[in-house]
Amino acid sequence: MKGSSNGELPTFSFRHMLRETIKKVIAHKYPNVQTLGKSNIDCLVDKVMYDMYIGKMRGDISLTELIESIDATISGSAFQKLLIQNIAVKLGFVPFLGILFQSINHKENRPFKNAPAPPVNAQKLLLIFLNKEDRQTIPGDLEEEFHTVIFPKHGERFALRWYWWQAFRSIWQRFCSRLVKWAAVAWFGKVAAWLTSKLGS
Amino acid sequence: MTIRREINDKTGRDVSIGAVYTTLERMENKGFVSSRIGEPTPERGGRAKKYFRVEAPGLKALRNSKDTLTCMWKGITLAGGIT
Repeated sequence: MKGSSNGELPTFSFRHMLRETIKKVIAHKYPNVQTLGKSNIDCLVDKVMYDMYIGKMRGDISLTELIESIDATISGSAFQKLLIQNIAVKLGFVPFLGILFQSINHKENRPFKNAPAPPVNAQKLLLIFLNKEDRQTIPGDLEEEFHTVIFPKHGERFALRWYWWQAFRSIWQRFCSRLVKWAAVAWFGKVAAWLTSKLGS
Repeated sequence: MTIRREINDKTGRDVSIGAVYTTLERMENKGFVSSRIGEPTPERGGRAKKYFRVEAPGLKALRNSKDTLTCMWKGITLAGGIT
């Protein structure tokens, strides 16, 4: 929400209004869910906004329809999926445990149910070899491009091959370049030790 | 639109996402850009997005680089009479 200092009416962002509506619906119908916190509500906001983005939900939806939609999302398995997603995001920075939850998250929260999912093994490789900062961003960028650009443009076979190729390239760039650096440092260390021993004797 | 896709569309070069992040990491260490982690979105499989912003030293370096290139191109004539 943007405040007003010169007497004008305050302006509300769509996201803010959506969040407030969701909070009210949850407080009214699911009082025990309130304790789940802000990030879960943000997950719901993302879900509703994403439904609007892919055309599953209209942009000029009425408040009653919106409340019904939120209600449908919260109840049943959809909300559990959102919780898994949220846990996966929170644990994304924890090695191994994060990988496990991200695999479950990937299965449960595929945004395009009829489209192929990116290869799971390639995603696991990325999660194993990338460092904790990259574990969220690189697989996320690749998955977004896979769904929105590569698959619609080139089809399933090309998209799957493309994902594997990008995964290998990213691992090479981010993991192996570090490995080369460490090897170089170790080699210089050995050379320095050899020189010191020669000068000493 | 990811930075990688933008480079691909504008230049036709297929750079790896790892190379893009390595470059951005170096630029961030130099203070040219700053980054923040965004909210997780469903189209990314519930993963968060990283947003980058060009900072004042980055803009200055960009202007310097552009001016240098413009100076170098002045007076150069390519085959076919293109100046």
